[in-house]
Amino acid sequence: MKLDDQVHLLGVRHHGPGCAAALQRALDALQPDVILLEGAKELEDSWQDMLKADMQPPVAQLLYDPNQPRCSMIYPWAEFTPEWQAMRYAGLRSIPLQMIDLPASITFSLDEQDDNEPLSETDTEADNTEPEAEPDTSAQLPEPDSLHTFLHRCGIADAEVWWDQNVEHHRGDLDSFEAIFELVSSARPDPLLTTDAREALREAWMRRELRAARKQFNNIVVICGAWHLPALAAKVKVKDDNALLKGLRKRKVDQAWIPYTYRRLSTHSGYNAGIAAPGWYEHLYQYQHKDASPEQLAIAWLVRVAACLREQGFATSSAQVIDAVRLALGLAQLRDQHMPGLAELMEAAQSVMTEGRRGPIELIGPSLLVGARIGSIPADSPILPLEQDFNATLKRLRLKRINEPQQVQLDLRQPNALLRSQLFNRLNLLAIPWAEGGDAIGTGTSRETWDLHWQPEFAIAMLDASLYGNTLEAAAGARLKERLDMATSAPVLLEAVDALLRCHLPELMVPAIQRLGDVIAVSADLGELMQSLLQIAQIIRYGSVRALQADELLPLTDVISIRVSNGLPQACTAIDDDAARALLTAIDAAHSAINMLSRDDLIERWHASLQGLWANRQIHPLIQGRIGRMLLDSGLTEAETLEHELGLRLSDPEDPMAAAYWVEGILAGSAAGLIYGTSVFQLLDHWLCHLSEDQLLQVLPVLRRAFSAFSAQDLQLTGRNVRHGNHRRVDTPHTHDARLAQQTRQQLGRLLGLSLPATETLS
Amino acid sequence: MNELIKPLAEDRFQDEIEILKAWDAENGHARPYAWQLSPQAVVLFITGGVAGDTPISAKYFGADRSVQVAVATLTTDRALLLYGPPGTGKSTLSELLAAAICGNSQLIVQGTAGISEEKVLYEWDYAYRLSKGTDTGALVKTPIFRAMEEGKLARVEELTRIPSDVQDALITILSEKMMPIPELNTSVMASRGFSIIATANDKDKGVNDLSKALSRRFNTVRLELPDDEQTEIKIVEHQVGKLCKAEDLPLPVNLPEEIQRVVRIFRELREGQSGSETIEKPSATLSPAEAISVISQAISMSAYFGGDDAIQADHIASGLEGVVVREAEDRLVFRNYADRILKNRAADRDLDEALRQIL
Repeated sequence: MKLDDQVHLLGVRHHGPGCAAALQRALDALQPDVILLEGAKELEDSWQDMLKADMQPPVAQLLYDPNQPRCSMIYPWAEFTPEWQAMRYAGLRSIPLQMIDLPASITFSLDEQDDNEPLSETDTEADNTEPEAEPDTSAQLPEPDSLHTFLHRCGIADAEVWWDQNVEHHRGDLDSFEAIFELVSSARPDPLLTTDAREALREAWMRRELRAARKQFNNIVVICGAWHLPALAAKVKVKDDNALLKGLRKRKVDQAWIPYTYRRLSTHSGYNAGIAAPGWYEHLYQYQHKDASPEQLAIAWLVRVAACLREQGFATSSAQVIDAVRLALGLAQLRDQHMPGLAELMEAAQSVMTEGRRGPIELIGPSLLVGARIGSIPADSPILPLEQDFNATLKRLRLKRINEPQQVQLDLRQPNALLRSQLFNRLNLLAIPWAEGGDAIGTGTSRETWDLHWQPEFAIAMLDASLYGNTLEAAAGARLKERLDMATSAPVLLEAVDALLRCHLPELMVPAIQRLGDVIAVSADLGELMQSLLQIAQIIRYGSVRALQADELLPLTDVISIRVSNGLPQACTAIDDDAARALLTAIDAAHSAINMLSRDDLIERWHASLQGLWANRQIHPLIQGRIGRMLLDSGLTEAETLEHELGLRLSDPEDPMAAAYWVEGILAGSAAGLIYGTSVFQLLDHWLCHLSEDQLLQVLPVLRRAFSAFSAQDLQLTGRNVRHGNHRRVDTPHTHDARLAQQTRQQLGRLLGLSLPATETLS
Repeated sequence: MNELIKPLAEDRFQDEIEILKAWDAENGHARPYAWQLSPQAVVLFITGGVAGDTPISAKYFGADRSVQVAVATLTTDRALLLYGPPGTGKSTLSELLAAAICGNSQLIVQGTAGISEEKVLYEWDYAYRLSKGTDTGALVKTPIFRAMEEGKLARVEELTRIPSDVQDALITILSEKMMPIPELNTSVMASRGFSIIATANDKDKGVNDLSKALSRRFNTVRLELPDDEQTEIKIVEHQVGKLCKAEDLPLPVNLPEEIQRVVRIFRELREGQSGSETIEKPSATLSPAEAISVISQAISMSAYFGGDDAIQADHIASGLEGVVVREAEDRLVFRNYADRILKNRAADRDLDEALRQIL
């Protein structure tokens, strides 16, 4: 847009591929002698590095405060970013390029003031400033809120799609920028009326830079987010701008180039919102750039779709590509668009190539729409901000990076030790295993032992990790987020929760719980659910050792407990012995989890469910025996009831195995409270004595296992009972076969590892 | 003359088709060969809207984008397969497309497990053959045969119920656009405008999957269950209203609330999501058609046995149980849902109580 004889204003959408192609045509037509770009002043020092041979987009320029690396601004550049093409143009023709946005040094200082004004300077407060520090680069349209609102007011439901269809899809040139200017001018009739003080400041700064350039150059091109155009074109008195820009403080700023990925550029990763489909934008840019026809664009894209589908094992023929192209073009015509957009192309692919199924299309989404492209930067680039953050952290925590192995003991009750533990855990999460050891949550100890050994190859691991973020915290957060997104089972997710607590990444708690809730609600494995319950209970109970708040996990226990209570009767019936044993372990886990959580509603539901199972004669005897024991231990049933039931169970001569399992279940590995003082012992004794030899041999392995879990003391006590027979008899038979009794006694003695005198008779 | 239960779409909506023809002419819309309306007008006819100043009624409540893909498919020489769970309006859409595009929705082959090739391609009039010999006069033309001759759309209902060998008889017709008649040493060539709209449902058991060769000849459009709650409520209200009128039943006072509640429960179970909570999904489809049957059953019960002009929670509960619990596992899924979700919603506690009796 020609502002006057000296200045052209070209408004773009950041990362707009059509804008990038149009911009190149406009620059060729204008042949400017200087380019002014919307970017922080400091970028002027390093933008020319982009011309180096090893520089491959996507890359990003990072501005950060070396004393506080989390205070940063990031400018990601892809091949289809208009700003990147503008820098290339200037670099290749050796035209001066000036960055005219507010310097980061001032932005950071303003951020600090904003932070300090409301209240506290806690960690979480600082976290919140991060996205705010990067307003432009993450935006899809120039200033989403504003142009979006404007388009909404015009009755356009999806501003993104509208902009794509009306700007990015068209072959643009110098004239397109006239239209863009007209659009934003009607959206901002009075550009100086802005409620956002920061925006006003930035626009004043840009006007001042433009004024300065006018004194030096004759053919100026300004490239900036379209939204700012009216403010730059506005007539404002010099002294008004200067008044606004007076007295700004500055902070120290360092900068670095970092390799970037399409994944990080897309919405799917990290903390920052990005563009949804960089892979598609790259494609669109290349075709806009080559002046290709809509048919060519559709063909090339659908060929890629077909290739991705084949990679996933779906047979896709060339004939289908042809049919899909025709359908996409037909759809575009029907929808009154001059070329098929991403929606039309993917709908056509779905209809022709995958028999209308959405699944395969979603499956290829990540590789097709996002793309695996990873950028690279020259090897001699300055030290990575992530490494700087690492070094600063070491210094703060009084740790040294030495090549010799060393051991560190931590008492987590000390603040410094807690921070060290977090550091080690974060490094492990980022696959930089400098420190090994530590301790899992759930053991309740506050001591950790770590073995430290620095290896030279960790430098490479550090570079890989820097793809995730510029501080250890941000990188670890992004890495863990990725893990959360990919995990599909409760144990894996709980491991991630454990990691996020140990690494102190509290902001991930909400997404983690959301994912966990999704998985827990539909998991078909009841045993896994009960084990998860125990894990959750342990995290909640012992997390406090690390000053962790894990109470957000509590609602999940409700879901599990409802599902377990309703599902157990079915899960415990008609199962074989191995399955029963596995389930028993899980039920034990759930029982101790419920006791550990000690919440009334959970306990009530669990006890009701135990009583339901107890009354249900269909369930496996091993489990039923254990449930009887649980009820006894929880004071929910009388010893007499249990004795009665045991008597019934043991009196079935036809199925001694069921009785033996029942005994194993009820003994539960400890004699306390059961064998002594009740008639359980006599009942057992009586039952054993009345088994036939065959039956005894049959049940022996199970009984052996039942008693093997007893402690030495329990064994001794039980043995003494057997030896002295000091028990009262209840409903015992009046006669007995002395020989058989003797045999049994010896058998029982052997079972308990005691030698019994053969002469002694039973009293 | 007796009143028809359901006249053909092209007759029911003849006025609107004429309006749309005029609208096309006014706006200079291009019509594909042998179409009576432009593609834009066909979409408008089906999804409803305004042609110039005249309102056009919505006849199909589904995703507009799917309708557009279906229409765009028929502008190419590809056949169209409408695929989806029962109760999503596949046949309705097929009828409307045929009526709007070629003014004839009657050329139907109903797919059944026992259908033979003769019913798909052509049959012989044996009396004619015996008396006059084998010539074209002895041919009994099937709807597909006639569609090919006249350049119209043929409809094949329940394609996947047709045995595989009979299905494959369609391959030559779709790829070569001709049907050989070896007995006469000749063939019928399809006139321009001919295509096939087939429907098939993916929840049926005992279906014959399409061969790769055949499925490649179709563009497939999957019709999903309504993706927004208001649309679904509108569909159910519309149909329940019609049913009550037909059966002379009074509308219960709490009908809107109960429809809203049933639709909400259906959607939550179908999507496995209640608010921010994930829940298990039962195996049943839970289509709007089933919601309609739950509601109308409840209305009958309250009218004949309720002694009240409102629907009771237990009327809804028994109907719900019938459609949700299809397999043994569904009972548990439904029980969990009642415990986790219904119990915690004040307005649904009565339903939870009623379900407790039967689950």
